[in-house]
Amino acid sequence: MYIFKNAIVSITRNVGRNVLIGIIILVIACACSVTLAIRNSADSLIESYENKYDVIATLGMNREKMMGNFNPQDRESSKENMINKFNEISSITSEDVINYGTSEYVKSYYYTESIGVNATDIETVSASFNTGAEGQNNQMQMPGGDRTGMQQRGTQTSGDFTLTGYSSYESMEDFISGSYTITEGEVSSDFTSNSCVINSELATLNEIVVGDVITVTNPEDETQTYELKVTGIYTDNTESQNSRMNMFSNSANTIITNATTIENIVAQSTDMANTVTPSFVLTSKDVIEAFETELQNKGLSEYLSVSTNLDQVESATDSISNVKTFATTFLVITLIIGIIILVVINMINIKDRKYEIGVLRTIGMKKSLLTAQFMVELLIVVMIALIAGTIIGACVSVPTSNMLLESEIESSQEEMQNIQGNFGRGPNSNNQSLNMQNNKPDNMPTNINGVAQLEKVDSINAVVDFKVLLQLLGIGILLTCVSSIASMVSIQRFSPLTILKERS
Amino acid sequence: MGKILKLDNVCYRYKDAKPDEYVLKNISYEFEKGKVYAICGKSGSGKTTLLSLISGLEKCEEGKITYDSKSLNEMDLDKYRNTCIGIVFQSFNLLPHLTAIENIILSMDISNIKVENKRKRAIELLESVGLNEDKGNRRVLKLSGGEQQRVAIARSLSYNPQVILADEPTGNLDHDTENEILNIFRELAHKQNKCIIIVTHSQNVADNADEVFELCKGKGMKKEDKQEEKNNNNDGKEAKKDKEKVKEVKKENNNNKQQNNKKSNSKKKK
Repeated sequence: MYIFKNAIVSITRNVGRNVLIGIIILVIACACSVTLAIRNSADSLIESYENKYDVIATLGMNREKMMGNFNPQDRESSKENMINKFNEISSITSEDVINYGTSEYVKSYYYTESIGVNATDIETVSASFNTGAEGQNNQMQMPGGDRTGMQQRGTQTSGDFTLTGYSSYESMEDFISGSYTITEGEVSSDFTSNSCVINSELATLNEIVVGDVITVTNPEDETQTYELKVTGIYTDNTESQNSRMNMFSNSANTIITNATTIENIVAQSTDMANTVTPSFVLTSKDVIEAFETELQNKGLSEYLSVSTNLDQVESATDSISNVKTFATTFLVITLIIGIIILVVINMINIKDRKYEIGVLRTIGMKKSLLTAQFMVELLIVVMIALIAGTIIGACVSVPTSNMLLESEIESSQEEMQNIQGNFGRGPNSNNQSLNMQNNKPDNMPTNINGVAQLEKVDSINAVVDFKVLLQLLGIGILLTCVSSIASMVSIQRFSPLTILKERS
Repeated sequence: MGKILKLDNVCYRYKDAKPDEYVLKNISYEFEKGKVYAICGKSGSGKTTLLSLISGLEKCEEGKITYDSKSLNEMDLDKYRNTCIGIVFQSFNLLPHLTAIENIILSMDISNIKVENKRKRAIELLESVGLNEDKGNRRVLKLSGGEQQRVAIARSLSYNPQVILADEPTGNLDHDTENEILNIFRELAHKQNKCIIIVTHSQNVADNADEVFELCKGKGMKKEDKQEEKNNNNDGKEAKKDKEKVKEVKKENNNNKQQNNKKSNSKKKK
């Protein structure tokens, strides 16, 4: 115990030097506190981004593998071989999707189904004007941009309209991205009902309003009819690639419904086939390979591969990672400079106290205890300065970090509101009577396609949490130990007799 | 009297010295409790080195030093210094930022001695060397040289060691103070049965020691036992007296002879 007593006596004896050490530690603590807070904020942001952009796996053609069958020496037979291989690829069915979705690596999954249909009482947009875009209505409009739908070849039917069914809100990427926006009514939250939303151009030309019922038919057998209730009208905000040639949007003849309706239609028909485009939300980016292996074990064709949006997710966190790296570098530089200054001060300190060391060693104080006393002295000063520095640092860092996070959260909330607006809910909706919060259906997810409903700003005070305090404590101990090396070496090296002789 | 310290063919040379350049060579001796020893010798004769070896601040190259039949080489020297021996220096070597009492308490703390009231014990020690509590509460720099040396002695006694080593303890003190310090040492040896070993240049100190050793170029130790010397001195005086008596008798005889010769010569002339 006398070591603590001696340490305190020494601290009070050398007030000037200890105040100097304290100021240096205070500055280091402030810098570390701010840096650690920024690092933590960056971590939070990265985490929020990772939540925001889940790793989504889709199935696509493995072209490299397919091209492996091509022999330039024998072009004709190679071509034929490739076509045969392509035709051999078994189509993905909704049952397959459900089967793949049971994987332990899958957090959730959704899919889109499409079929071609005709209609008895409405005309296609192009037919109404008898112009341009011939054959357009027969094209399958693939949801999800460039994703490859798995068509059931051989029995695929074509029709005047494309009927696209979504399994859930998450799968409605065109609405999430803002390509489509509901201008009237809403997308039904009941994903089993015979409801649909239609393009505003189609609605205008056929004078369809929300609440009307349209009848679609099997293109191969006009007697097979299916009634769909229009619950909303959407507009296509994308510009078609040849906008000067096309009077109407590409989706003008696309009727949007749910996957259950498509499956019911296909089930009732004998000659209709649907195209299934699945998306799997993976538990993490580390399971991609394992997931692909599992799918292949479950029967996925070797010519189909799993592709993800990982690049997109990583690019989204690049800037934040850079901030984190910068903060880490700053932290390291601060610590190195701080340690160098403290080591120098300690060396001077040891030189000044050489006599004291000599006397204490002469009267039998052990080297280890003497070293411990010097370390305790420094530790007391470091801890006092560290506490003060942390308080000051926290005062500075919390608003800074909060500012960073607040802007991020605001943008996320805004994005969320926009998405909900695209589905015909919230402030972006033309239906102003609908309130986003109050009118949100039970099954409207808080994380639509990974866009998380982030917590509000008042919960970000976790910047100076226990973790940061522990880190600062660790830094304090590190500073003490490293800067005590000078005193440790000196105490081990000094001969008490030599010191006392020099003094004499 | 119990033998407490034993030097057995102790040799020492500096690390950078030539192979045969010894500061101390084949020094052997035994120190007893209850005696004051003075180690004398010219500058560079190895007095302080010998004291450093005995105190465990240096290690001897050859030979061994035993304390209470245990070799220093096998002992924890820090423990040895803070329990077995007390060291008093010419320049006192007290911690200037502490008071006299605090210096003594610190020494007790280091030795880990179990004392109920360390402050009370420190005051008692100071009183035993002639300093009161008021002086004990002063920072050591505010005490005179003699007082600081008394504090150093009190400190060295704080854990009740059997041996006190003193390196020129009176080198910085005037004659009267020197005598006072020597009296303290003598009392410690004769009343408290301590072994006091003093390295000194002072003839006064040597005269007051029970035994004196003279180091000559580190190659040997010449013993001067004051008791024998006293005895020798007494025998010499008596012999001198006898000789003087003989001389006186001879003188008288000679005088008588001369007078008789003169008388006979004068008778012959007549």
